Amino acid sequence: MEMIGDLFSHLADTGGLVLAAMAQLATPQMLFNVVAGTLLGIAIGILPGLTATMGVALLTTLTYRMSPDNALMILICLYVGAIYGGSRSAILLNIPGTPANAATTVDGYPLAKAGKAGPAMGTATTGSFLGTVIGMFFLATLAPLLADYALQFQTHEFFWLGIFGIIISGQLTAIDDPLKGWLAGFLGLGVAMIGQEKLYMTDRFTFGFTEMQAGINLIPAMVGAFGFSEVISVMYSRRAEIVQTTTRLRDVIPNPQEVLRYWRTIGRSGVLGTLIGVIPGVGEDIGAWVSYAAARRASKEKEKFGKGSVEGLMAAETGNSAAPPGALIPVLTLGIPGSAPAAVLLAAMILHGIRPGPMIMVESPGFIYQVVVMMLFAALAILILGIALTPLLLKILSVPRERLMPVIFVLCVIGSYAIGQRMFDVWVMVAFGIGGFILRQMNYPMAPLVLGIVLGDIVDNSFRRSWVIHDGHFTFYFTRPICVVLMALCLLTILMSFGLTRRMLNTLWSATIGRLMNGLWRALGRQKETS
Amino acid sequence: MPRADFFTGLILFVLGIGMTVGGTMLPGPEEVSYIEVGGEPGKLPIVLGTIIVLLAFILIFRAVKVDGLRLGNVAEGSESSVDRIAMMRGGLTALGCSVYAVGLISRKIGSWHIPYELATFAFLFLFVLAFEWPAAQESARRHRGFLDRLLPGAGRGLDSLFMPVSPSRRAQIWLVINAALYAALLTAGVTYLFETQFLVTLP
Repeated sequence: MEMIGDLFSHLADTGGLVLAAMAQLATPQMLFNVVAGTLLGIAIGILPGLTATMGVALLTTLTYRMSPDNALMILICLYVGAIYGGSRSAILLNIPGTPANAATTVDGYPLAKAGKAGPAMGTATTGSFLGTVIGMFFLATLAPLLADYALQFQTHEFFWLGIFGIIISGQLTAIDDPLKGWLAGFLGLGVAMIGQEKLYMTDRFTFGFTEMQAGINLIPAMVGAFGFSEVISVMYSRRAEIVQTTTRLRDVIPNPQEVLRYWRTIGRSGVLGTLIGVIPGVGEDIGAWVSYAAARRASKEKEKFGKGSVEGLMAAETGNSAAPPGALIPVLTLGIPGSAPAAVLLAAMILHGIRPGPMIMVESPGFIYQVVVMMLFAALAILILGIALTPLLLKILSVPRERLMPVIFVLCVIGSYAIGQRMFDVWVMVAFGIGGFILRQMNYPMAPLVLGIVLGDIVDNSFRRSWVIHDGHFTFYFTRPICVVLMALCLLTILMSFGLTRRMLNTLWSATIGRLMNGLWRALGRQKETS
Repeated sequence: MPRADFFTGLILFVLGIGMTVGGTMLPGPEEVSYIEVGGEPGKLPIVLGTIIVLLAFILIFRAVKVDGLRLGNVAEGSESSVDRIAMMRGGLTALGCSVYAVGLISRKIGSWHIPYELATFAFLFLFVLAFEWPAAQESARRHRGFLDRLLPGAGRGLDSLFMPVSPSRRAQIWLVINAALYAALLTAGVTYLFETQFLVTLP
């Protein structure tokens, strides 16, 4: 009873803090930023090839002279808008606007081909709105608790958390070939080793170049890996054919009864999407696929999945939109990004003088709730703008790529140059763009690479600090439970990627825990019958 | 893919060895007095290099296992099926963008510093021209003049009498003007927006 009381009091406190943050942020200037950021995000999302990560990375450099509130509002709205906007091209072109919308194509495109493009876009809009709201709820309630818990983390736990992030991100972003995911992640960590290290200011792998002493800046690397490489990819790929559709507003407005019919799917996908978002470096695309798979497994209309199922479309869009708020939970509480766009947001926060991590509730107690309100505004903006401006937004799809891509590249150059005002950053962007394109063609995921670059400093400093504290002995890794759990998770993740060990673990699970649970359920069933 | 995996594996293997060796060459407590035992700057690079070597070795081993040592032979349906036009488009994009970013921006010809606006205009203009040229040629080929449409066959001669410039040449001229206008407008827009509105210093 006391626990329920505590829960309600926590929720009431959270509600109060969110309202206070809302009162602070609901200014005309902020609302203008919401509309501008969301519209830009939707436009970026609609255009196949341009991703949320690229948009956030470009805008980070272009907004860094704004106040932190204004800049972060634009970036968060752009992030949420881009993940939603990608559903339009997924439905009409059968090409996901961003990787997060890949699962949307499975049922969205068949619906459009069956003449139901309008309702499909309405379903996607509702799913995205509700997914963001569910994720936002968890962000508001869980992030402060997690930040409190994270205060217990010590240097060696941060090291293992970083390594676990790389391994799980490599595993989940390259499910067919985790080896490539891990290689990308460890390469990213390797890139982060370039430049002066932070403990003793020793140059590492700079080869005498003064420009390299500051290391590889994250923003030019991200703009290259997600911007320039996407420009090449778009020009490399074939032109897609758009499904002809009527874009009457009344077709797009969602039917509340239809939405309520899928409340279980929405709730499940929202929770799953948020949880996947929390896992370091995994992100929205996996959130959508996991939600889609779970919805299919639980559905009464399994046969419709893949042939134009409204439930499948709802699950995919709710799942991918719940991931951004989820991805911000580890950003704010641990300083570890949950997805690639969240990694750029982390860099943007640091640029604006905010230090995300375990101390966030001590140093800036209201910041988490401000981010929650920014998410809420973004969710409302995609719902209103996404529906009201449907005909206008679809016109973006007709912009020829030959005209758009060089402009994107011009922005990539400005974006990489703007912060440091060094041509070296532009060269880094070009190198990462070409390298990223080649790696992508060979199915190496980019998210673990980026996560590696972001986590490089944390992993390096915490690794060496922990060794220094313990006089160069490694036995301390086995003395703390959090550390042991993280090490076990790393090992388990690696073992689970091998078919043989996976089968062995499954057998072991069903022979022990599975049997125990079955017995328990049967006993409970019998007790119910007798009573 | 096995062939690509094999060569990538080799590159990563060498990179991993380089990182490990580089890590061992960094100073430790023996060389620099303020570096503490356990905090050696080369410690993590050595670990990472070893992991990359190990993973690259698995990649090479797997590629050899799938395709044997017949690296001259390409697995069916992989590299041989790559679309040449797509490759050309991708290659041209990468080359054009790299030349603009590395070779034009902030560069000097003798003592003359190439202005950002001129470099950007040239890049946008040439990019549009290079990629829209074949489409313009194609549309000119299919284009039929007014009299040719009125009198199929005989009208073509009359068309060329009244309009001395061929449809193909007209399409080219129109594309050049259009691309120049587009590039000039965007260059001016980007420069104004970022310099005066976003207060960004341009290269």
